[in-house]
Amino acid sequence: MLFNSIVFLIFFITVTIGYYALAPRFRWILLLVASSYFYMYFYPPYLLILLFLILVDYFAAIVIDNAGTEKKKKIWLTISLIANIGILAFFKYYNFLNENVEELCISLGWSNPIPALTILLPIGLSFHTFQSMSYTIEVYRGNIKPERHLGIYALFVMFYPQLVAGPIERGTTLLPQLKKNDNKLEYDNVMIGLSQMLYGLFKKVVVADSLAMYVNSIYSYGNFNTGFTALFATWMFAFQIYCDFSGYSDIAIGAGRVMGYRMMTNFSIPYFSKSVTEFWRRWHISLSTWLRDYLYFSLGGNRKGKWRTYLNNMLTMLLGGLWHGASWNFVIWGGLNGVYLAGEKMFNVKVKKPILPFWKKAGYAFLTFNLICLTWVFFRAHTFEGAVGILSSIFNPVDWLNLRIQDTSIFFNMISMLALLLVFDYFIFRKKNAETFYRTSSRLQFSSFHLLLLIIILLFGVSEGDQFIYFQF
Amino acid sequence: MVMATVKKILLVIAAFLLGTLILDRVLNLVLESFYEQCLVGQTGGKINYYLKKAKQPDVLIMGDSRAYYMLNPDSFKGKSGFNISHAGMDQCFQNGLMSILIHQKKMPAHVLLHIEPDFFMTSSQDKIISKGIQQLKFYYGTDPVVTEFLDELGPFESLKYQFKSYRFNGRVINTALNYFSTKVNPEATGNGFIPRPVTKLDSLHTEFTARNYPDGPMYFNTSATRYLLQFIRIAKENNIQVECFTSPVYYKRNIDFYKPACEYLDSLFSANQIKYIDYGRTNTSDARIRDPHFWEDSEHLNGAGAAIFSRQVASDFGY
Repeated sequence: MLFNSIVFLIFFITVTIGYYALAPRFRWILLLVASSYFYMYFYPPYLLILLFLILVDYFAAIVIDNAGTEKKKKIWLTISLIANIGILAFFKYYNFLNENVEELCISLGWSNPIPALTILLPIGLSFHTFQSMSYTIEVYRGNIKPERHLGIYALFVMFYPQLVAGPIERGTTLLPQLKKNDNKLEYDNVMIGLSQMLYGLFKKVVVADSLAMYVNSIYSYGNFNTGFTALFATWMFAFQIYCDFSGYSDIAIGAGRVMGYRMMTNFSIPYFSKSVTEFWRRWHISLSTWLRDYLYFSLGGNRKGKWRTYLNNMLTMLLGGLWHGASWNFVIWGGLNGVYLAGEKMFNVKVKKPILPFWKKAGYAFLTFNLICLTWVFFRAHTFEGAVGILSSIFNPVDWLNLRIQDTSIFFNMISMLALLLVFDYFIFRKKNAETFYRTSSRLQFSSFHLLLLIIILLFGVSEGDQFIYFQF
Repeated sequence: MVMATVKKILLVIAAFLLGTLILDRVLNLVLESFYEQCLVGQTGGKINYYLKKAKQPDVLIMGDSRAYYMLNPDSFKGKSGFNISHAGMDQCFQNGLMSILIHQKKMPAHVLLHIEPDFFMTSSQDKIISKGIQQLKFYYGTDPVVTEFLDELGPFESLKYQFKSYRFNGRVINTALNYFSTKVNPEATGNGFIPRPVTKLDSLHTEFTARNYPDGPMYFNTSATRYLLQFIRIAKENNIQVECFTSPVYYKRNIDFYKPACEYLDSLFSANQIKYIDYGRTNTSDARIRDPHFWEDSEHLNGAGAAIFSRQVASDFGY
């Protein structure tokens, strides 16, 4: 079920009304059933995989908590991690590894006896496995007590707003809210939640889907593009993926907020960052903090000398790349980000820069944006050859400035909607989040802004747009 | 306490929806007025021009960009023509457009329809729903064929049109641009044909855009046949003579890739006694068509190339 569909609107209204109509002690049942329905809407059999992981992690956490010895704790943590990573690896990396084995076999003149897997990747697998792993790790570290109510734990993993594309919530913050489940209907929560949902919908159907039409048309031509066309399409993809993913997060967080649940911020206008390090503090925050807490710190973080810090940055981002998908392009994407982060540490680039004149800030932001765009080429191109094709177009001086517009109407729509997004992000959301915007603006300002958003969605929204990009991860 | 909150929330939502509906109606009036005055451009302008200003021609050319930019009706010797082709539009759009013209009594007795074999091949076995009809959203609720096809796009499609201005979804900026272009030159549409300017970069683009064929398997698109069959049926019911052609391409067409489509089209047109020339398979007699300087890109002739091709079509079809 896509957030940008009328089916979801009906589902959301029904579940929300049901939620408040029910006595608190029954609410978890409604949310669990609704979340299962939401997940099964994509492909029902994969609910079994989810249920299997829920059972493994539920029991593992309880055994870890009850275990008398460190060794026993470690064994059960390992079982939980192997179950999660095993499922992830099987569905996501089996074919990738097999393709590489095949390449190796071909180069040695052998035939590869291992068959390729021809099944769909369970939707949102990377998200819920990471959320489950964070739970058992936190129980192992003693930061939270295991949830003994199987239904509540299952709901923690399956809570429908964030089930398929995050934010990757932590047991420490979401579990207590789900356990309590006595949220009262509050006017402010409903308004803030709906406001965030509407802005997310604007980002997705107006900006991301308009940009997608242009980006797809350019990237499908690979290296048959002039330099500026390929560069411009890559800039546009940067905004497409931002609006697609942060739009999803906004709708997820907003949907939760309407029912009184607070979820973590996942994006904080990342393209205004003045360094790559700052970018990663503003982009997909729930994943970057997950990688920091459970991988970077576990590798030693910055406590083991500067070279080890650089290496840890590289390893963390390489694995972050692999988390996104099983291809060398994602490895390169992660590797480049790792190089940037390590480089900034090496050259002591300050994340919090001193007060700078506007043109300097804009210059740093533009440089950072282009460094990130270089990584997006590998993210967007389906193959390594495709990425090389786009990069060779960008650096090909022949007829460089000739911008291929394709369809003028799509181009005009795209540019004007992107400009509108930048105006909203810069003048409203740069210093305020949805909550402070609601609390600090006048009623007239608040309602006019949302009326404008709704009319823009009506007139400029792409109604048959693609599904959210991050559903595939 | 809870009831008071519910009441407050419902009131705000109701007021918000009411505000949206009022704004929607006002915007619809403004946009409709702009749209109806457009006589230039693909967003209604060309259709409006044909309906309001053009003399009914002997032959109406319908198709996509490869008819729009490549076939000049002024090349016809014995018959008058108008090129009502729209870039990027598929067969579903042509059916909707024909229905509109029939209902407005502006459909001539002879149509030259451009056929794109690409539309009959697809890389997915899923049912393909044609989306070109969205270009005719303005006629939702007034034309039965357009309304039927638009409703097929999704189960809640008719709900969206409760907002009147949704008919201009994705077309607001174009409508405004076309309105101002009409003010500057209301006759710019002319005979519907607009040649692509000849530039020094043409041969370069042509080589650049020489197409790659998909790696994976391709399937025959049965939904495309539905639209073409419907077009032929409506034409027969209204005594409209249909003739068809496919424009040439610069690159050498991969016949194997199109084989199922070609076989289907040949047998369909033969069974319905419809004259059909596929210039993608049958080379034109004029060798200049194979010179990259006459092409804007590998699928579209530039103005100079179009002049040669138009004479060829006029001669082959006896116009």
